[in-house]
Amino acid sequence: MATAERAAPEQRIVMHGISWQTYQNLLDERGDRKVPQMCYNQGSLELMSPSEDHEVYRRLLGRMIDDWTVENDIPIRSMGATTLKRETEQHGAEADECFYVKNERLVRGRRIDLNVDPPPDLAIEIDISSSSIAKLDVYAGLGVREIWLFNGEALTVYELRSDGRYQIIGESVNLPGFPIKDVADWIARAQTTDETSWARSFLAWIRQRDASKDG
Amino acid sequence: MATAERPAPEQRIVMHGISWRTYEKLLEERGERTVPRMCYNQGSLEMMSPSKEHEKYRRLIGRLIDEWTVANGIEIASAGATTLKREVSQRGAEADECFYIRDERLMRGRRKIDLNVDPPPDLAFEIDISSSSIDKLVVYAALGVREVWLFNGETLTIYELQSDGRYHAIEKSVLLPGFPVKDVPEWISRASTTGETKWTGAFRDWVRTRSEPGGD
Repeated sequence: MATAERAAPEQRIVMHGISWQTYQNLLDERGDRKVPQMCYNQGSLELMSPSEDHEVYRRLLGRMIDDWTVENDIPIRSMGATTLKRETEQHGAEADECFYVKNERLVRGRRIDLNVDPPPDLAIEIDISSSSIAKLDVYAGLGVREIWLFNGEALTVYELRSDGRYQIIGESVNLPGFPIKDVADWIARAQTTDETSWARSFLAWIRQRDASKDG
Repeated sequence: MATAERPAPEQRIVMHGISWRTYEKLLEERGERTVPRMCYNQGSLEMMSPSKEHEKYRRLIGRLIDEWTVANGIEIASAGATTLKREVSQRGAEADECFYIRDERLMRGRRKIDLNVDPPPDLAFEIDISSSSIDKLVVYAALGVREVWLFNGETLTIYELQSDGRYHAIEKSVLLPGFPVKDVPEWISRASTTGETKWTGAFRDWVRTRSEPGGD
């Protein structure tokens, strides 16, 4: 059996000793462009350019979450790759996708100001190659309750505890029942068919699970 | 037969619309650290983190140049990966190595290069296993570097700055006459099968045989 090709990693550059002001200037000068994504952790700045595989995973996982929330009628607000930052703690992150779920009602229909509003409830990160920055430290500083890290092979879910640290959990708190352990398989399956057929089979799978639960 | 492992490329990130001021601030905040290396071309900034192979090629080509200049009595002043920049042109580069040769005497012992008053290095070489997003020759032309060597892991190409402000690829180095440009790839691949000391010794002997009277 042919070995699956290794997923192409992201390009990453990390710099240390970078001031908050310089980080802001880079965000401003990047303007509307989506790349590179930037993560800032108290002087360390990582710039990341996603690979094609990274973008594929991002989209597929995004679709799975979309289908799940629609089928299970879970209200969400998608924030995409919005920059989440807090100057006081010198933290800044840009997830691949992030969502308000539990706090959706609170932020519905208005502009969000992260200085006063709570951060998104859930952030998704694709990291085929390891980041040089302690992402969880950054997200903890930002107060994001749940982080999903997908490295191309497995999805790990983290929940922020009251001690300010993340713990690995087996079941999502924002999207309970989401098939965390099956994500890698679903993503691999997408390579064998077209995206529409793939999405339809995932939808059918969700419906069948609901039916057997009710039945 | 096992396939030779491809050399690992550099990590590269390019950003556009970056101000000169931010470029200089990044250089300043990077401080004494040598990575990432930065190349700036009128708003485009490329940051590069070399791979293990990149650094190996850098070292080996450096050794070849060292041996050649010693054997041929060519005086040089190494300027390493010093930042070369000119605000008036909005361009800046950091070669893998650069040297003063014709201006060696003038720049001997100098720690910093200010292209507003100092001449640029005569020779710069760059390793680029993966292609850069920035047109390096355009940047080096603005800096006035006479001769640029580009090695991509497989071929070494030599460029000379002409009076029209553009580089032309040339077969033989003007600053290091006789340097075995075409043999470099073979010497580099030979280095993966032997120790560095032995390899350097072999090159040293080879250079000596070539410069002996009656020798080729």
